[in-house]
Amino acid sequence: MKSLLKHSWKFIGILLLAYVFSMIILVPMGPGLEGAEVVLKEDGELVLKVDGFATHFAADVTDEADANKPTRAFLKEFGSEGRFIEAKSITIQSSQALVIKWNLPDTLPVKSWGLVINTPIDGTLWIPNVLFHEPVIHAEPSSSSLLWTDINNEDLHEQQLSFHFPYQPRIVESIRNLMLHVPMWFTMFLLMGIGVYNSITSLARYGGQNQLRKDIRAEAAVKVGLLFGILGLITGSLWARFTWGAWWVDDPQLNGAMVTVLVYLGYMTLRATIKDDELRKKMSAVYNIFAFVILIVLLMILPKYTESLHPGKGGNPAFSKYDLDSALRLAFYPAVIGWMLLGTWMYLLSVRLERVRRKIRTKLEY
Amino acid sequence: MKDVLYLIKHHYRMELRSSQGIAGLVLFAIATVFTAFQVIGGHPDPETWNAMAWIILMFTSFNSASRPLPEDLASVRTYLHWVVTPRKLIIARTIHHSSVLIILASLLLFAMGLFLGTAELTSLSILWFLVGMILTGVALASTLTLLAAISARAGAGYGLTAILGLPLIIPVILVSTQFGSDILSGLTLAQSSDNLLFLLTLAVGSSVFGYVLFPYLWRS
Repeated sequence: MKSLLKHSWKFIGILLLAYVFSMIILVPMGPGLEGAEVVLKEDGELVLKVDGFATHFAADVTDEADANKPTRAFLKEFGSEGRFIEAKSITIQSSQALVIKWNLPDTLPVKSWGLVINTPIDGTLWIPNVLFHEPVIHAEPSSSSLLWTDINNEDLHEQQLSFHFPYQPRIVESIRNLMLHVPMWFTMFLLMGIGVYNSITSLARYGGQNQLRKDIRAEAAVKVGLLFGILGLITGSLWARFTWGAWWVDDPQLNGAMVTVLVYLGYMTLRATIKDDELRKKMSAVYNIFAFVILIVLLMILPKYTESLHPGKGGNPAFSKYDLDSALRLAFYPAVIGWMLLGTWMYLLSVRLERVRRKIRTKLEY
Repeated sequence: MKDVLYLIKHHYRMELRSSQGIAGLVLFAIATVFTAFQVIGGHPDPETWNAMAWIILMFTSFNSASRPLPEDLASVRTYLHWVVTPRKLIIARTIHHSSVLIILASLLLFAMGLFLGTAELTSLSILWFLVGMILTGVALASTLTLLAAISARAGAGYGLTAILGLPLIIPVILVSTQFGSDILSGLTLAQSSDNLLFLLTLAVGSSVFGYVLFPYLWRS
């Protein structure tokens, strides 16, 4: 019973990961607008063809209050306080396709227009920059009273969907990779932190046999951390192929990650070249401390101050900025904890394995 | 302080006594530039010129770092162990190595100008480029001195210095290349001073690391 409690964190880790993987596979994607194409724009008439992703334009509405209210569409003026122009008619072609018509004056006060759609099931969806209007005259259009629509929130539909991951343009289904890619790096940071802690303490002046144990721990932590780092590179590369169109792009965050992995491969090489335990402990501890500082510089400091495509770096917001309180958090936080617990477990196993190896080696020598 | 000065002087004396070491480095740098000139067959465009300058400097610094030092001999180390503290030794080594790289960087820039042209640099901006090269040399020297000490102690020689060092100096090379292309595209020193500041930080940071950690390598 006691040992069951002692090892319970391992079960928690496995359960969390099982939960996370079932979320990754089972949770559907939320609705979103993939794009809108200008079909016709002349004589004060505008026709847009809108493509939706996982939307339900044509689905039957069961709720009576919603059924009475129609699907509505608006053009939204550029800017945070932009005004709206309501569509004249909406034709539903399928659940993923709408054709929307507007009557527009010849001149409009701004150039760039977004599209807002409100439907009974999907709620409010929006996409920026669907229309670039010329000419621009920075004054009220003559028929402005007819043009602008005041939206009363009570007339709009709330989203009626069950649990889903949020739609992100270009990322789409690959948002599920968030639960694999990001925790890999968090776990690597944790393990490299354990490694550098053991390296620092192994350099303390008086420790005797205990120091060699710390050296074993540092090596095991770096070994498992390196595995997570390489997995992070692979998941990241797949994600880059899907969202940015290339397996690798010249980006400070990506290059920093690659260099970090190379630095730790150097650490493993250094260990492999030295035969003497005591000397290996000292050399690799010194190099490990150096490597950890480079890791901090390359992955946490340098990308923040340079331009980067990567979310959360170089002025880009991280995902949480878009999805506060979303379903993503229910999967992401357990994923981080689960991967960290698994990494720690692997690290402890690796330490035990190395100790047994050394015991066997000393037995064989005598 | 007196000990450090003496050690630096001693390093120079050793350098001059076996001058084939430094001569080999100079030859390497100039021969590389000349080979590049032969391969390209003329003056390269500024971007290539810039990349070439930093890469040749990087390899020169690796060559310079992986030269066997007399103190790496076990007998000499035992002797030095009794007469100086390791911290003084690492200060002396870093200063000596930096000064060697400053000389090499200046010679390298001269050779580049001679064979590969000056990539449309004005006489003033050549000076700024030299400042960048000198700072890069110092940053490389302070990182590589510690790594060379590690690989000398591991008894593995040149290969290991490169494996350990190449990834670690990538930040330095990235910043220097940025600085170089800034200067080449006509920015002044003041406009690109962020890069120089970053190089200085890297140089100081890795020197401090060497200062703190070297005694652990030295003790046996």
